Order: sequence, then structure tokens, then C-alpha cells
Amino acid sequence: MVILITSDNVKYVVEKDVAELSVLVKNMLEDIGPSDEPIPLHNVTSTVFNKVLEYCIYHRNDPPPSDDDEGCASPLHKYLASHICSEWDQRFFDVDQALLFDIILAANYLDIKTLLDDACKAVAHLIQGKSTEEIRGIFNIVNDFTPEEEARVKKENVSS
Amino acid sequence: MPELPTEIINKTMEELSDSHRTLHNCMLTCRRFRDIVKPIFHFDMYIELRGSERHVLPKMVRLFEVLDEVTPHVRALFLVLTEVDGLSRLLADITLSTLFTLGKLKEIHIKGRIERVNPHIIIDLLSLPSIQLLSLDGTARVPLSILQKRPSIRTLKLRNCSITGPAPFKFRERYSTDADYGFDGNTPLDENDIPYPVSLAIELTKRRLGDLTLLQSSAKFLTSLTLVHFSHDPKEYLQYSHLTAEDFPSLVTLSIVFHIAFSLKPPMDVLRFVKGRKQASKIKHLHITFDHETCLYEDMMDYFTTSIESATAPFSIKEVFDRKVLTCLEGGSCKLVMSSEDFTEHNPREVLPFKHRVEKKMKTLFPTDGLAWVEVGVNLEERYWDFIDF
Repeated sequence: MVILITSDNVKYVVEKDVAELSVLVKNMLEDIGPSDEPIPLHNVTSTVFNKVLEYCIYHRNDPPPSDDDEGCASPLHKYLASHICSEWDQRFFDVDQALLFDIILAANYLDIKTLLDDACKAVAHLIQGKSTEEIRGIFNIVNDFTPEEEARVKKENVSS
Repeated sequence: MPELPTEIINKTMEELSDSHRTLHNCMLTCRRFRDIVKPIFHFDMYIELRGSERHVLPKMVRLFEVLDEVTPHVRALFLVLTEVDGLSRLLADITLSTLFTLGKLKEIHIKGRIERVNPHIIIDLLSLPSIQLLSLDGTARVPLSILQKRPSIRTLKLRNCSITGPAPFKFRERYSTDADYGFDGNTPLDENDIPYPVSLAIELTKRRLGDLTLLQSSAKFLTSLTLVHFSHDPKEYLQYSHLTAEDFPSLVTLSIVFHIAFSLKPPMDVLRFVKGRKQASKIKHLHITFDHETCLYEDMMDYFTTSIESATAPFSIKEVFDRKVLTCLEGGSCKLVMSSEDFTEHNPREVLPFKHRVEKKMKTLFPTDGLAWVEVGVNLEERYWDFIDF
């Protein structure tokens, strides 16, 4: 078992194979060797870590991600992978947007590739088909274009 | 709301690479997003010189106005060349020259005849050392030199092409003009200075005499071979029954594709090919695919309901895989691929139950008891049809 402590001081006792889905935790465990020393997760709160843990437990027996698969996957395969993920995954990512973004940041910090990939797909799905104004709302973006710059970008959509 | 780092925005945008409109809307949000999205948005460039000048010219003019912004990011060029002439052709020539000068293209896909634009520019582009993938479809009079001594090319896709060399050389008597070639950069050059391929996907029909020569000459280098069958009539194929896996000493993966219409019965003896004559082959993976294409998703469902759901298999997984001679196999698959061009228009909630039905039937047709390394799968895919007559 591995002891993990989130940034708001909540302690988790997690099975080693689950914890090691995080490359960050795996490397830290290798560095400190056999020890009961708790591992601090400075950038993750317990609210977010609960979700991360739920994902890692569900996916603990998945085959490790392969870069080769990504490279040779056809656009069709990518479509299936990004649109027809399991019902469990669809439910898992059906959370409010702020939490989804926090999950992404946690996956990035903890270095959990599959969670990061799946969460980015969920965000991509969220903005698919949205207007510029709607996308600004989702990412909290302030339009900093001058009218000339904006007109230039509009022109770049040459296929429309 | 937390701000996401640039690399994560980039990763998210890459997921949208097929959604041109959404990507463009993202580019219009702010400067930061514009800079992240731009290389993804302009990665592919499509130039379609078909239809009337009135139809094509406005697009070419719009592209020309932003050429400096767009071309530095283009890595894959898709060219459709048919009848258009005049100003559109001139603008296309300038655009292609700019891409040649930048020298960053990795992929070129051409449909049609290169003389529809300035052929010298096209040949210059095809000769760029950065090119890793060349795809030529219905392309005539391409000089052999573009294939000679090109160690950077990893993939060559030829469909109904003519490649010309010095007389009396005839490309189609020595090579396949309808095949996908894969190169690894390590195989030696053949007698025409073209590397021997390490992978081939080939349709062995009678009218393509070079296929068999190519197959035999490349045999000792091939690690992956895909044999594609469009017809159920054995008379439609070249006589290659004398070939067995023993003729391919490096072959690791054999894939056999049947483009089925109304039957699941394969027209070739898979076992005989793999078994060899005297000794076991070195094949580690055997993949059998039944590939069915329809134009509409509704037709795909209809085909499944009327033809496959009530079908019995012509052979079982055990008959295909479970022979002593094949104990060296480390992986195998039996897959049904069904594709339509309007697939993505359907809601995943509607598609998933259908996919489960198809999966269930495939597993009934091809039980894998005791053969855990054989995967029985179903792929429902979108596939675009392009009915351009050259």
C-alpha cells in the first residue's frame, strides 16, 4: 500500500498498482525505496483526487498506453476512440466544467497519460461545434484581437 | 475556472483536427489560441481544381490572399486535378511553388493528371527530400526518378498510375500500379534503384501482371503482407496458389482482406498459404478481415440485419487458427469492418447498441474457446467515397 496526501491534507491509502498509474508517484516510490513515508501531492486537492482515484481504480488493469498505437491509428480509429468511449468513461467525465479542467491539471501533474488523453477528448467533445463566443465562455477568454487581426484570421478559413 | 497550459490546449485542439469549423472558431477567440491552433488548422492543404473556373477561382483567390500565413504550416498537400485552367491554374502553380520553396511538406496526395497544372512544379514537389508519404491516384506519366534513391519515403500508395522510365522499361510489368508500399529505409535498392518494400498491401487481380513479379522479387524482405480480394470468383485472380508462407522468410504478419458483398465465404485457401509445404512458417500474426462498405449508415444496418445476422460461418476460428502448424502464432484476428460515409452524423447513443449487436453476432460466428490470442472484432467506421472519374 502507498500513502498519498493531497494539498488539503487528506490522507489516502492506495494499492501500489493503482498509485503507480501515476508516473510521478511511481518515480517518487522508486526514488525513496521501500518506505512507509507518505507522498505529498502538492497540486491536487482531495475533491479532484477522489475523481482521479476513481478513474485509476477502474482502469487499473488496462494495457499500458502505446505511442505506436497513436502513430498508426487511422482517422477513423481516432474517431471511434474519441467518440465511442465506454459508457463508464462517458459518465465519469459528465462533471461540471471547472472540475473537468481540474482533472486535466491533476492528470498532467501526476503524469497519468490515459486520463489526460481521455480528459482532453472530453474537452474537445465539449467545444465541438460551438461558436467562437461560446468557446470564449468555456475557456474564460477575453478577446484581445484588433479588428484588423480578427479580419485576417477570418480570411484564413479559405475552404469556407 | 483554471487556465489550462498551452500544451494541454494544443492536445485538445489536435483532437479536433477533423473538425475544421470548430478549429477556426477557436482560432478566432484570442491571440493565444490563434497561435496554438494555426499549425493544426493549416496542417492539411486541399486544392481541388475541378468543376468550373467560376466555382474554383474564388477559393483560389482567397487562398492566395493569405498564402504567407498558411503555407509555412502546411505539411500534407491534397491535390485534386481535373479540368480547371486559366487564372485558377496560375494561382495553383504559385501556391505549389511556394510550398516547394518552403520545403516542409511531409505528405503529398494527388488525384488526377499532373499536367493539369505545371507538371515541372509537381515533379519538384514530389522530389522534396522532406517527403515521407506519396499517394498517387489516377496519375499518369510520373517519372520513375521520383521513386529512385529516396530513403526518406516510408509510404507509397499507387492507384491506377503510370510511371515512366527509359525504354524498354515498363513499370507495370515489374511493380504493382495499385498497391500500398511500406519502406523502412534499411532495405537495399533493387535493379531500378527503388528500395525493396518491407510491407505490401496488394490486390492480385489478373489485369495487374506486375503484382506477382513485385511480390516474388520482394519476398525475402517482406515482414508484412496484405492480400486484398474484391471478388469471390477464383478466375479473377492471378495464379498465385503456388506461393506459400515459406516463400516469405521474413514475413511476420499476414493479413487477408475480403471485400464482401453477400457472402462470408473466402475465395482462397488461407490455411494452405500459411502452412507451407515442408516446414512451419515464421508468421506470428494472421489477420482476416471482412470489409463491407455501404454509402449510408441505414444501409449498413440493413445489410447486417438481412445478411449477417442470419448467416452461419463458412469456417470457425478453430479451423483457421488451431492447427499444429500454427502454434507459433502469437496473435490473430478475425474482424468485420463495416463503413459508411455518414457514420459520424449519427449519435454514439444510437451507434453503440448496433455495434454491440454486431459484436455479439461475430463472437457467435467465430468462437475463440481455448484460443485466447485470437481477437474477434468489429469496426464501424466512416469512409469517404470519391467518385471522381479521371
